[in-house]
Amino acid sequence: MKKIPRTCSIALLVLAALAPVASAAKAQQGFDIADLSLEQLTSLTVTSASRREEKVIEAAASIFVITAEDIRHSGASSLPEALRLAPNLQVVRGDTSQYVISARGGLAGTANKMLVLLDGRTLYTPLFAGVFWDAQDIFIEDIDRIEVISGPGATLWGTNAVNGVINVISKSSARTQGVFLSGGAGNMERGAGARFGGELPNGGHYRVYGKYVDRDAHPLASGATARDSADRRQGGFRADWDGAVSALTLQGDIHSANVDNLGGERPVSGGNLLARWRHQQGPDTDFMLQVYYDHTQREHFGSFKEQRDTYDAELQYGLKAGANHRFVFGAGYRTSHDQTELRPSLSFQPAERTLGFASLFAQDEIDFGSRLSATLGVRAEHNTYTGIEWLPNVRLSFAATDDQVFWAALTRAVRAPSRIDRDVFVPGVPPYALVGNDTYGSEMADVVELGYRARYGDRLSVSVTAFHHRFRDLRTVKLSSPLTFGNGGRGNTRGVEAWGDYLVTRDWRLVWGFLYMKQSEGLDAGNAPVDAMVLGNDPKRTASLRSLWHVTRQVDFDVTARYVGSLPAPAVPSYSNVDLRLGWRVLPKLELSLLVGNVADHRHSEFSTPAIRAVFERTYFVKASWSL
Amino acid sequence: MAFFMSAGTTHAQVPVSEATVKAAFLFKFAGYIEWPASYFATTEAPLVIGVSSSDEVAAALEELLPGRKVNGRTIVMKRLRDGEVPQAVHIVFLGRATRNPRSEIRAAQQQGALAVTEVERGLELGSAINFVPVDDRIGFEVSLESADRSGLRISARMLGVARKVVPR
Repeated sequence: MKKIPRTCSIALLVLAALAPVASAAKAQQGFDIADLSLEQLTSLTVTSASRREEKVIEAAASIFVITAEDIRHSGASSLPEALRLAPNLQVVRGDTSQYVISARGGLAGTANKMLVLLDGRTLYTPLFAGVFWDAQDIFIEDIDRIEVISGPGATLWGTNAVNGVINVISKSSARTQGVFLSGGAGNMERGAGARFGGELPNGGHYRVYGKYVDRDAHPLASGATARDSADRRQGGFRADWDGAVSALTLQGDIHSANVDNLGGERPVSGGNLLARWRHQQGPDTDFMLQVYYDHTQREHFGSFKEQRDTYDAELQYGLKAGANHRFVFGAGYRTSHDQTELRPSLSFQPAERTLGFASLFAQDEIDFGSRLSATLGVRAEHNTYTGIEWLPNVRLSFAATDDQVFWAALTRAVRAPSRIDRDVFVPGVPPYALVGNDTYGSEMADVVELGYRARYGDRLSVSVTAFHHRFRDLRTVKLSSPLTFGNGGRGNTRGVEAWGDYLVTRDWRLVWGFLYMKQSEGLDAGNAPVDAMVLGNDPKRTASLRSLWHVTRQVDFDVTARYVGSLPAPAVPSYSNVDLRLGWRVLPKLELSLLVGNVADHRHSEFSTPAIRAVFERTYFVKASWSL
Repeated sequence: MAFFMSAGTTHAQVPVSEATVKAAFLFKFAGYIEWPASYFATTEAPLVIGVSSSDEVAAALEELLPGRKVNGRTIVMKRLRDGEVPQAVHIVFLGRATRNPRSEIRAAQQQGALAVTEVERGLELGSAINFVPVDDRIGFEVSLESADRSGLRISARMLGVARKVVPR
């Protein structure tokens, strides 16, 4: 879970650099809390170091929150590496830039059942309903928190939130003021970044940042190079005006990367611009309007080229009615236009297409008193391919005591068809071996979850969730000529995920996580799996233990141990990993850290077939971060 | 469930510690309360916030107060032992761990100090201001009756933000 040093993320350490643990709260803010109005104080989200799950305790969902502090202690330098911190996610790395990330199974080259958001912007692409992780990054130190929900979240988030939701939330620019510099180098990567934050007229704040990282190629098992070196540049800004009742945010990023690959180079670039307005109308109603534009383009030499423009608008209205009801209503519209070009090995027909997604949802949280509450909600989402999909959920939670909650949820989630399911042609010109299916339908999942979450005193907390996902209409290959996609697969995923937190002493925290899953799958006659497995190439077991230790006020020593069980097909042996991090605040605002990755199992692979998967060896990385 | 909802929206704020927010509230409250001039030894005498049974809030105030003024007065924090009768203190914050809050509140009132608590039904115990959790945030409720007993006036602007106001 915790992750490795590989990159040079830069400012991971800003928080530590600013202050020892005791005063971390003040340091983290980067603004003066005493300058806030009473109204603003009542709107602050609070946490406390010893009880990090305080707010989570009542949620009737399997939610794990990765905090900025967790990320800093992990040394993670990229978004996918930071996601390893969530025990309810499976993160596997094919090579330098290619990751597959899913919850409760579903690992595949085209993993397509996760909904991933970065500051409200959807990251999964309608091209294959998955995320191109090689195109996603953030100034790591700007992350406020990452909320990871395993299990469906379709009512609130929409189609694709079948196996889980990842919600990356960055800090307000008011909390990233001043100059921050970071840089580092190691045996596999080098990088640097800078951020500057200042004030704007009318009480606003802004930040601008830029970062660069250069990563080396790994070997294959054969000893030959995996040709997976990559270099990446990204820059962006965020501006916030936080008033007593209204808040406006504007933000944007641009990036470009050269990603090498055995199949040929992959230039990747993109940019986005987002505006969000929130308004609190009295204590009982709030309103949110968000619009964004996102552009991406990529070429996989020899296989495809894509350019995509997405426009999205969302409205959300929250209303407290009486003492017992809290309603949330939402409406959204997204349109995504792509232009693809024919390549010898693959084409999309039509080459250009605009997909539209319109949605409406309503949800009511009902407080029955006597510690029992329920959430009832439904979303109707219309997509270009299959029309309207209904996404209902019912959640119940019972707080046995202030510190113990039992919850249960019943949900239907849907993975709507993507371009690849309907419009792909392989090879790009006739005669075709495989063609997309014009009548390909949605994949469905009915999910039952039972959870228990508790805190024992101030030091110990635990969360356990048992789940059963029943899938039908999963994607398969129909054995026709030419082959096409069908909805001929079904399966069951049952399992338990658990994690906990133990504050051994004020300066030493242990975080553990565990997942066990059992999957069964079946095929309709005349269908074959797309990959070897219908549900995914998933480990049965994963486990992790992180130790976060403030040795002295200046020195941190962190250890992460992680076990991932073997994957069935293509077979990947199980592995255990240990990563170490030593952080030293030389001056209050200057931190040096040393990261050593893969200490125990210093040659392992995580995904795909031996012919193309990278072998990860021991890594070293030295990093400095400085806030002025 | 509250959190699940908040996850659905996209607000971004670094969670701060409960103690830090409460300390900021205590500082802010001082600006909305009118003490009779006789409660201060001189026109320059500092305004004193006494803190009992909460190291966290005391530490947060220690960080927050230096260099700040309220209505022209400097403002200082004084740690009180549990059970200690506050002297020359203008606001008394009684932490959750206070053993006998009812009598502590009464002692504060007799000194003309504003009593602030952080317990369930704090106002019923007699305090003038009580912090209450509101989902993952902190709100406060006010008892004008109790403030009256301390001889204090609370500004209407502050009452507008309170979750609940108990009238005289």
